[in-house]
Formats: sequence, structure tokens, C-alpha cells
Amino acid sequence: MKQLEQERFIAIIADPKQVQQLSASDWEILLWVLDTARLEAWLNAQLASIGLKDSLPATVQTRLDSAMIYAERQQQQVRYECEVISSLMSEKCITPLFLKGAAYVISAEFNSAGRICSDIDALVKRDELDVAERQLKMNMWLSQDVDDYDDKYYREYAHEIPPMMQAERGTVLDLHHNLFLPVSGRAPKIEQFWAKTTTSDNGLSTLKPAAALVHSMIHLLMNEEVTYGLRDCLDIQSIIDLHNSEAFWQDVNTLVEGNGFTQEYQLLLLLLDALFGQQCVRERVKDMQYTPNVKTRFWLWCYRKAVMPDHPQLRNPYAGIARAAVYCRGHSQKMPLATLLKHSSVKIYKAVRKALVGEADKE
Amino acid sequence: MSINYLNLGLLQSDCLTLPKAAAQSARLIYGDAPRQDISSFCVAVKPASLLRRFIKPIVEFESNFRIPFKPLPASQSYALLEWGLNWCLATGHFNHLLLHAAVLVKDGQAVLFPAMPGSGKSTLTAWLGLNGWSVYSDEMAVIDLHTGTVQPMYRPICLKNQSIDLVQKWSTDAVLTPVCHDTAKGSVAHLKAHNWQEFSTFSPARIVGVVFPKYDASATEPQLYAVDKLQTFESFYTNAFNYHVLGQASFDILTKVVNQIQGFEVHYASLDFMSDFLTDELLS
Amino acid sequence: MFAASVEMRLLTDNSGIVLFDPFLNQTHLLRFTSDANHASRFPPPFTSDEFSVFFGAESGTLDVLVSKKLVIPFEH
Repeated sequence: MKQLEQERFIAIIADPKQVQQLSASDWEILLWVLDTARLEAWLNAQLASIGLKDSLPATVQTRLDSAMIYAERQQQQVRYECEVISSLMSEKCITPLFLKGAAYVISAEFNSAGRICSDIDALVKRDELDVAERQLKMNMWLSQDVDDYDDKYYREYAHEIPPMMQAERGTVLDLHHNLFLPVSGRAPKIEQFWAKTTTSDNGLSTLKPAAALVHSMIHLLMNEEVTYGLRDCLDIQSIIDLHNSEAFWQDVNTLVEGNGFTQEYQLLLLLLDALFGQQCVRERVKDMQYTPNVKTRFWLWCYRKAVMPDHPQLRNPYAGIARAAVYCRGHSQKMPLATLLKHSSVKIYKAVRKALVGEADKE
Repeated sequence: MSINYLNLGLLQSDCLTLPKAAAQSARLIYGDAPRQDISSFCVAVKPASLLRRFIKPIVEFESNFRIPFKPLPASQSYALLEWGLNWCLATGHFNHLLLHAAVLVKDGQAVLFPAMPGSGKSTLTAWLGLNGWSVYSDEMAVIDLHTGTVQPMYRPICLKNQSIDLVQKWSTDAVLTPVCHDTAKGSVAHLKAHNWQEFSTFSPARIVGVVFPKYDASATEPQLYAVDKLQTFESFYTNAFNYHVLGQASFDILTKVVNQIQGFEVHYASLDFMSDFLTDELLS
Repeated sequence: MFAASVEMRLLTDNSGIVLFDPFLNQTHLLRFTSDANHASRFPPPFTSDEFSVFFGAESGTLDVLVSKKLVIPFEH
């Protein structure tokens, strides 16, 4: 089976005009890998912005156009859903804060051309969570089917309630009260993030760019899976490209240091530099004057491999090992060991039961 | 010998792996088409698991290494491939408005037959295809969003149950894949409507009419009913695969097409009548 | 209920109009019934002639009230 080397792939992502050297066969693989990574429309936006689209093979233009049509329709849906959710919450005097993909789409502070987000993430205050959940339920949002254990996991251990789905439209909403699990002992001081919000012209609230970067970093480097890790890295790089200033970096540093995320921040900058090699990040790395130790170099190697799209035609040796290491790290960061053991044993028991006798009957 | 690509005219799909019998059917239907430079999709039909390769074998369809459907018995591999290609188009091609309808063309003018269960549409499509009409598609009308013309697709006609025997009776040279029995639609076989040489002469056609056929063996006289434009719009809208993704573009082109065409519901027992009716009433 | 702008297209056989709401991405079909010559989908009922007087005989943009899935044209 023909393959594309991951170095070549990331070189194109870092510098999209290199597509001009691609053969027909390379183009096929590139587009299929980008489809898996949800980045086809992103590439379309990049190539359109540098005026390269018209010189591409006709089939490639067709595929990129198709991806863009879908992305734009999805973004329209996201904007609508955020307005509806915001309007419902305001009836109970709650102002939700939209996060990640939804935020990038609804706010002019972020570049969202070609960005696809499959569900909506929003933050409310912990003491507003019950009221918010009830209000949603009264308006045809249903809690997704989770068993009692998973429900308890979400509410007791985690920083979110089980995902909710709009009954008619199928939109999925993840409602959080923090940006990381409280049980981990590493959840940030959420009031610091509530102090860094901005409201767009259409009345929707999001984090300010520096806070959004820190949130995206937490999501990328403290979770057990990085399926769309490359997209997350591109999101962060885009925030940096748009807002690169002393004031911006000062805000980032304040949030990082005030919440004990210095190690993650150092790893993030090294990772972005390794992937995209942009001047603005390279300068921050130099300013850090940080010599990565063995542990950091190991995790850098892991993430550099793990964030690549997982596709049989993208040649990425040892990616399996890297993703397994990230998986273990993510889980161990989310829970203290005792809780993790208890949680793992329940998950293993449920997986074995399902394999032997199928799904448990609903009670 | 395997088949590595499926050139559908409109676009091409790489074909990574197929069970032997399905590969033979695919070669029969697509083998004479040349290779396009770049494939838009990559598909495969493969055994669902090592165990199920040998015991009550089942197969699954993959598109870009993802599995969108439940597996089917291995005997239905080729049918699964065709249904899978429909899925790829419906969920991944947003450059045209795709309607669930057959498209028959004569003299550069196209008539659409929206998919209605029990209408005898596939039998009618096959008969017309064997009697001077060009089959632009059996199941998926591909409509240009700017001009409203319909594009041809290089796909077979999916025949079910008795229509398989009928086609074999009408034409001894009909190129048919082996029959898959016990599918969700009964017995299914695929008819190669045209060869690549014929197909390459097809160009985008103007839509002149929409017909809702109803085969009624007891109809001694054919019954004709005019279908108004609101009904026609509703029928296209409910039979569109990707209307909701295309948004206003699909609304605009559908309105333009509906305003330009005539609509009929025809209860018929005679295929000869249908051909004459289409030529006399719809083609100018 | 909220006001919206929808795209409106007349069907040339006078069977009705089709409407598209670009914000909600919804399509609505409005039939002029031939016998009573009144629009049958929602109140208030109106004739195709009344419709032309209020909203003009050309396709274009129409201001409507949207209540969940109902579309009710209104005059400014």
C-alpha cells in the first residue's frame, strides 16, 4: 500500500505552498489523511488565502470545495446552536462561556476558516450547573444514555455532566464547570478564567485568546487521547499568529504560572516549534532559556508522533507506542492512583461483561 | 486479477481490496473504464473478522478505513460495494445536488424518476436503457448547482427479483452480475447499462420532466395525472441526499428546475406506452 | 417566536410558494389550494391575490414570523 512519510506530511501542513510539488498519488493520500484528521477544509482555507487553489488539479479543487461546503454548513449550525443555548441560559440568568471549536467559530478573535467541530463545549459556574442542566432538559435536550457508574464518574470525578443531545437536531453539548477534573488535584482556579472572557457582537461569550490558548493546551497535553491533536496544535498556533504581543504572552504566563502548568507550557512550545517551526514560537522557546530534561524530551517525542493523524497510509513508525504512552499519562493525570485503579477495574469489568454477554439490560 | 479503481465518470474511487467474486463483478461493470489521475475516495470490502472469514463469512464495507455500516453475508459483497459507493457520494460529495432518482436522457433532454418503492422504476430504467435511452443514473441524479443540468454517472442499474428475469428475456447480451439472494431488497443483480465508449459521449442534459411511475398490471388503459410544481418540489426535497448541507444553493437550483419542468404520475402496464409517452409528452 | 428574513420563490403554476430560512436552514412549502383559493398551511388564511398585493408578484426576500417550524408571513 502506498504511503506518505509523516515528515513530508507535516512539512506541507507547516508550509502549504509545498503542495505544488505533490504527485497525483501523493495528493490522494494527503486528502484521505486530512479527511481522517478533519483538516481538509482547513487546507482549502490555507491554499485559498495564498492564492494557490486555481493551479491545483481539478479533482483536488473539487474535493477541497466539497469539504469547505460541509464545514461552512456546520459552522452555520454551530452559530445557531450557540445562540439558542445562550438564549435558553439567559432565561435563568446564566451566561455560558463557549469553548474550543464553538468559540473559534462564533468569535472574531479567532480564525476558524475550515474549522469543523462535532459538538459544542460550554462552561458554566459550578453552582449554576444543576439549573442549567434542568433548563436544557425542559427544552428538548436529553442526557445521553450512560449507566449509573459513568454518570457518577462525570458528576463526582470529572468537570462536566454527561453529554446532552438536542432531541430534534441531534446536536451534542458538553457542559463543563471546570477545564480539568477536580479529582485530579490539578484543575485550574476557574475564577481566573472567568476573569478573562470576551463577548462578541452577537452577545456570545468566549475566553480571551490567552485563556483560550491555555485551555487548549490543557485539553491537548493532559488528556488520554489525541485523535485530533494536530488540529488542536493548529488551533493554538493560529491563536499565537493572530495575537503575538507582549501583553498576550504576559497573560498566558500569568495563567500558566498561577495554575501550575509550567511543565505543560514548556512542552507545548517545544512541540509547536517541532511541528511548525514558526518564528514567533521559536523566539518564546529561546526566551524560556529552558534545556529540556530527559523526561521532557521523551514526552516531546511521544506527542510529536501521537498528534499525527492515525491513518494506514501515513508512515509514522512507533506511533502506537507514543499513543500508548500518552494514553497512560492522560489517565494518570486525571486521577490519583487509588481512584484510577478503582476506575480501571470497573471499566475492565464492564468491558469483559459486554464482550461475553452483550450490553447490560437497562434498569 | 483484481480491480484497483472504479471510475464513475463524475469521480473515481480507489478500490483497495474486494472478495474474489465481487472483484469479478466489479471488473464486469467498471473494467472497461480508463483510470483517472486522482481518486476521490478509497473503498474496500473485506472479511469482518478472522473467524468470520471461514465460519458463516461476513464482510464489511470500508471508506477511507472507516466502517459506516453493519456487516453483510459475504455472498452480498458486490451489492455492498455498490451501496457503499452510494454512501460515499451522499455523505462526501457536496459539489452537486444529489437526488434519489433515476435519470433517463434522450436528445440531450433528461427525465427524472424519483425513487418510490414498488414503482417498478428499475425495470423501467433497464427497459428504456435497452431501447434507445441513455441511463445517466439508476438511483442518483447529479444536478449542477449553477445550471440545473444533470451529469451522467458510470454506474450499473440495480435490478431486483422478477426484473432480473425480465431483462434476461429482453436481451440475451445483457451484461449482468451474478444474482445476490436474500438481501434486504430480495434478490439483487446489477446490469451494465452502457459501455465506456457509449458513456463518454454523454454530456450534461437539461431536465425537462419528472415522472412518478406506478406499475399496475391490471391497468388496461394507462392513467395520467398532472403533478403540480409544489408536489414536485416536495418530492425532490424529500428525496434529496445532501439538500440540507447545501442550504440555499440547493433551494435556489431546485426552485429553478421545478419551475422549468412538467410533472406527471403515470399508472401503466405497458413499457412501450411509457416510452412513447415520454418521447411525445416531455421531449420537445 | 422571532422575526426572520426568508427567501421566497413563487412557483410558476401558481400551486404555491417555497420559502427558505437561511438562519435555521429550513425549507417551507406553502400551498395555495385551488378550490377555496386560500393558503391552507397556517393562519391567517389568505388568497394568492392577497399574497401578491402584500408581498409582490416577484420572488424575493420576505419578512416572516417564525414559531418553531411554522412560518407566518406578516406585513410591515
